[in-house]
Amino acid sequence: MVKKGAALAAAVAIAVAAYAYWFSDERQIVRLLQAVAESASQDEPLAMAGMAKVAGLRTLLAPDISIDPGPPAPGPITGAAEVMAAVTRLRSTFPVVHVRFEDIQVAVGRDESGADSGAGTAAVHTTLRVETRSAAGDESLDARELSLLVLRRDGRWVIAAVKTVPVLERVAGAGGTAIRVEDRSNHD
Amino acid sequence: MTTPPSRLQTAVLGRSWRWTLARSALLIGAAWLAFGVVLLPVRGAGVSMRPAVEDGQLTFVNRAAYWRREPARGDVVALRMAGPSVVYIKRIVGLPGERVAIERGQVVVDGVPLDEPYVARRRPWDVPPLVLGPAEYLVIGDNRDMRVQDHDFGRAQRSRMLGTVIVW
Repeated sequence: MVKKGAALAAAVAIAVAAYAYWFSDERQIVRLLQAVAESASQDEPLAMAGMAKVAGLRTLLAPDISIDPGPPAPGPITGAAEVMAAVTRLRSTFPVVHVRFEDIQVAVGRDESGADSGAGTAAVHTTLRVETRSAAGDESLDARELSLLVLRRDGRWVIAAVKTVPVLERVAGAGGTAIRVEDRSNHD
Repeated sequence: MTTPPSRLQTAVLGRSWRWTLARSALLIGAAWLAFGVVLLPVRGAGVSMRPAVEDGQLTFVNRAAYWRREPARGDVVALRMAGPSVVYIKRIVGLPGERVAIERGQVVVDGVPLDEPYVARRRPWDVPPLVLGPAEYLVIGDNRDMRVQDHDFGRAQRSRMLGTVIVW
């Protein structure tokens, strides 16, 4: 009887821990990024389902989102509609696009500068990896370190701001494209 | 009187299952230590480190390299981004406190041209002199036969260096 009670208590404790983990703010924000990556990725060009996926980005981004890609981009992208248009352009340029967020670190209650900012705000630090394949079969990989501001609006987490974090402080004359090397030990 | 183990049992578990278990645990532990802690497998993407690291080449980062020493000139290093899943690979040419310039493709450190046998061909890049901070290193790829605008290089903080890349 005692054994049965202990087993039941352990099962309840595991269920509560799993529930708390799965529905924690951190897990919700990780799932938000995964949903963004899924919406931006495609394995076949411009399928109708793919266009619906891009439209789904609207629920994941703040309407007034600001994305600062850093140099060599001409300037920030502002507004969810503009971001969705940029994603659509990317997907129409490359038949295959794989987007992933790696090494996601979430700090709930912090803003991008790391300062306390209340429970409805979270700072996220991650690496964005975009792999593309052109119609000719040329593959390319781009990766950027990002700092994101995520806000809870109407009970849902949405991405409000994105900034590129420079890995190298470029010197005069240096370029903007890079050799990047990916660790496949953990993810592929 | 005990029954001798069958051939199948001997083949699977060895003469003593305890020793086999211990050996397996030791092997798993060593593999975890080697590939989970010390060596980080990486695959080259791009051409800026040619010929030391080719596009698509599989190699390893030795994360133990800087446990007992600081990064040195000539080291091929892995620079982390948000974490170790995606890294830059570059070579250190300038150390903290040094004054570094590139004149017609030649790296000059504190007024002295740097001997770089790992550079096969070079274009006449020009970078004005810069002085590196206390924890800053100047890192560049080995492929100097690219247009300077296409080659990403610059100052890297010590805190971003995961270890040295094993070049073979």
